Amino acid sequence: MGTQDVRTRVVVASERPEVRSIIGGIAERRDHAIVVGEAPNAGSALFLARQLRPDVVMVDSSLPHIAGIDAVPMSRIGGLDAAQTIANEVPDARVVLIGNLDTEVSAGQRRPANSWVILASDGTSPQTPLTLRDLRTDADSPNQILFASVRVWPEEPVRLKAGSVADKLVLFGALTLALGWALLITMVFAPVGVFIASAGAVAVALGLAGKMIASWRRRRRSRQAGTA
Amino acid sequence: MRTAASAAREAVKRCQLFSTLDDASLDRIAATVIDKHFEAGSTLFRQGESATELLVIQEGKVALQMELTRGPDVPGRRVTVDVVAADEIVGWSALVEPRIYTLTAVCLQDTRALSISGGKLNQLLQSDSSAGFRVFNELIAVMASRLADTRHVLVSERLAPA
Repeated sequence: MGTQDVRTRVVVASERPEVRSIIGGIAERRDHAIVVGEAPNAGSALFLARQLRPDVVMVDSSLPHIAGIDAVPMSRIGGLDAAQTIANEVPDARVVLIGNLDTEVSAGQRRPANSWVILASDGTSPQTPLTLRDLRTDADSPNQILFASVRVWPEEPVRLKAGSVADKLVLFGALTLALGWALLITMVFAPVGVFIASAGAVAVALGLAGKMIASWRRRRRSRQAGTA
Repeated sequence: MRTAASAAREAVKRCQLFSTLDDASLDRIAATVIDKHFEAGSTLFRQGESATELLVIQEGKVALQMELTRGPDVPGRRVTVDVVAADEIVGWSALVEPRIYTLTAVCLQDTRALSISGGKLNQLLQSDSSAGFRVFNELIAVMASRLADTRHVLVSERLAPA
């Protein structure tokens, strides 16, 4: 009999569908959470929070109270109010207010959800990637709003990059190996060729090992940041 | 090479309240500013507190909230009436009697602001009547703009369910 993996239940509140997709995507992909509701305005967010009793409510600070008036930016300032009301009326839910979605996420956003991360600070250290699971179990700050921001998470794909030590070793080793084999074929310089080819093989092996270690470190960093 | 003093003067000049002042007046004001940093979620000042400083936002966003009291037995709530960003001011109550903040200011993001002492600024403006007239002229424009924005918010509030 194993332990049940209880997924963190999240409500996402933002007027913009692309923002809800990004925030929901971050929660589901990085934290293995489940989005149980999406709200386009503060009224809906409060309704969903009361009805669904989620673990976490993620609120866009530029959320309209009811419906945003297109030409009036001032109709989109209900996020903090919604966060405060939900924090008071649904004490079991942790509320995260994200303050920079209107400037960081442009309309027609094409960047995938897994290239974003939510950063928050506990007030004593710089902002670090937010883990919803830890937030859910943190009972020290009930009814308090966590102020956060979103950033693009610079995950680099694993590929051959000019300039890295491991890549240079692989390149150098391959060239040395080729030179060694060329000398071997001549038969005259076979002993020298064997030595040079062996050195080249060792360099290639070291370079490949270095790349594997770098890749493992990147994956470990991503996992620590909450990547599934 | 830009000095700290010229950087402060440029920052003050970008603010609408001081945009019509000459360089000499700007330099006098810039000499009194203090650079301050606030974390997201922190409160710059609360409604009802004594207004001692005016803040010119440089980076970040600040929500201005009004405390709504509904009666002795009903808990009050706060409503955001404005969100202020770079080159805008909060705390202009420091210039106007009775020098009490009429709203609560909460940082929505990590914020950097230039703090100007209300007392020192009043002294500067009283000693230079031309600068004082221009600043208070712009202050009226800022207040009018805030009132117009607040109307939109109050209309939204009237449509909100209880």
